[in-house]
Amino acid sequence: MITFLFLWLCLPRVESLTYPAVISPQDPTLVIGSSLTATCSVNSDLHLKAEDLYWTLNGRRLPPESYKVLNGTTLSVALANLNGSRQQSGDNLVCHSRDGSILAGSCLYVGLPPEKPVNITCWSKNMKDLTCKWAPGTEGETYLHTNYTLKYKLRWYGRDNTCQEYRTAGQYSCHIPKDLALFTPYEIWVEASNRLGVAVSEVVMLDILDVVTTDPPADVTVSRVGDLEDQLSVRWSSPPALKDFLFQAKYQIQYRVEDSAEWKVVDDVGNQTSCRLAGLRPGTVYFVQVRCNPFGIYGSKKAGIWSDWSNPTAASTPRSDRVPGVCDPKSGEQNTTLRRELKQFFGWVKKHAYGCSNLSIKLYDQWRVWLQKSHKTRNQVLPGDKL
Amino acid sequence: MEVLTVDPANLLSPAASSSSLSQQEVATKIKQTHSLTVLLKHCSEQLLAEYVRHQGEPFSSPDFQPPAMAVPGLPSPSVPPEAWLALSDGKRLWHLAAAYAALPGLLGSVRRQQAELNPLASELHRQLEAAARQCRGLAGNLERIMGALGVTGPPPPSSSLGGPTTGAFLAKLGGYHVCRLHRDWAMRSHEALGLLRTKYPL
Repeated sequence: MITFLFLWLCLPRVESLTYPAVISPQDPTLVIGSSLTATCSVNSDLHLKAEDLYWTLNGRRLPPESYKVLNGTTLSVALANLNGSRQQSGDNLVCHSRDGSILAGSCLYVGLPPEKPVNITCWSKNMKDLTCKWAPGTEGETYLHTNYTLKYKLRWYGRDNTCQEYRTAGQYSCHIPKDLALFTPYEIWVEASNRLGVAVSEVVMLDILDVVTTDPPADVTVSRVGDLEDQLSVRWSSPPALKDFLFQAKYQIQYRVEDSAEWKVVDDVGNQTSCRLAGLRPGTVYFVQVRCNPFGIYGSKKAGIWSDWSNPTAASTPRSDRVPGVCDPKSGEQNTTLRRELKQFFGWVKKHAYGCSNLSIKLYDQWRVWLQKSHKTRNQVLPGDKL
Repeated sequence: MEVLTVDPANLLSPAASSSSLSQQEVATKIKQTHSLTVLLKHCSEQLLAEYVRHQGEPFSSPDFQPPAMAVPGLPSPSVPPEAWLALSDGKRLWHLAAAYAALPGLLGSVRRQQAELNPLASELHRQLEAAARQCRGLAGNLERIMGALGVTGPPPPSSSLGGPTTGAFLAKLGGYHVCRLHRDWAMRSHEALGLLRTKYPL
């Protein structure tokens, strides 16, 4: 009787709406694996009996063995070993009358308290701002909506600041757009909170100058090097934003063949704005990208953070198409200067070198003919070739 | 997707007072409003589907049967379909105007509740905001048409009760009812404006 009075007093008092029944507790928050006993009390006006009621959780009917009739108008249900909530808005625990109609509901929030956020990494774009990202603690999935707050303060001054712009670089990130001091360390940490509790990450300490990145190099152009079939020349401009305080920059180039996913990287490109790629395949389209690392800003000895890659620029190496007969020297026409010199050389060899009597200019002529013949084969255009 | 919002101030030349619209201008306004109801019909269906998706079962099951619930300030389209068609244009417009005066506020409340219940459901929040905007646009259009046709409008809705903080389940249920009513009224308004268009052709 006292329980019933207690339940009656807990009914919500809303003027314009009368509820056919009430479930208690309303919107509880629970740890995964815990148990819960809930009760459904029907409005006595409705002439419904407790025995006629049944329960569902997220649309699935709960077994009658877990029910207990407490009195004429109240039915309880025992839930054990609860799983994490299926949706963040809460699991729907519903009390029905026998014909299936919904009498009342309560939302269960079952999950885990948050874990300490980890792996806080930050970077500053051109020393103007700071973006940080982090990862949720090892469990990740808490089943409850978890709110993250990034906080920061200057090491030697007391005031905590809260970052406002979230999700600028992925789900777990925040962007601080201005009012950042240089040459003085910041303390940065992330607080995670949900209905079951709060967790605070380790504090990360950094100076903005140590985590500077910049824009990708601009005006990246890739061009052929004359007729050279195996080379391309890459040119770019240093990122304009850092021109006032960039003492040095390191660059990296990556390139790949058009239909391959494998990038080749050219490292150790120092403070220059051009580079030649060699050892390439003739008649092939290459994609090239360049990125920049601001280095030695204000005398800092540390490297900064690599920029994004520039948009890919494409270029193709030349392919010499030797159509048979066009560029081959006619059989009578030789490289006269070279041949003359060689003839003199062989004459000298015959006189002074023993055992080389077979060497003569005739051998050279034979070699030239052989060369032209094998060139023709090598440069023949096959049906499958892409020109 | 472009949202067709109608600013009541842009509806017609500022010089024209409410009753001095030419036949041509009225017909144009009706056609424009009819297009708006086509958009509303489509968007309200999408909104209802998006809404139930985030509340979990039983809301999202196809045979969901919610208990009847009076949503304060918003009448259900209680006039049955045949009787609805038998009403005069003026009466129909009157009912529509009453509904669309109340809907923006109710959709706003649902959005606030869903910001708490489903904080990450950004698409749902966006659609709820868009729905409120579209309803305001339609309300403005209806006001102009009624003025041109000499139909008196309903009294403005009483300021929303705000209401005591209900439990999460009741919030989900209340939001469901608002979204469904929004869809039902979109269907009704589309019908009514279609009939008006035939009567006031361009």
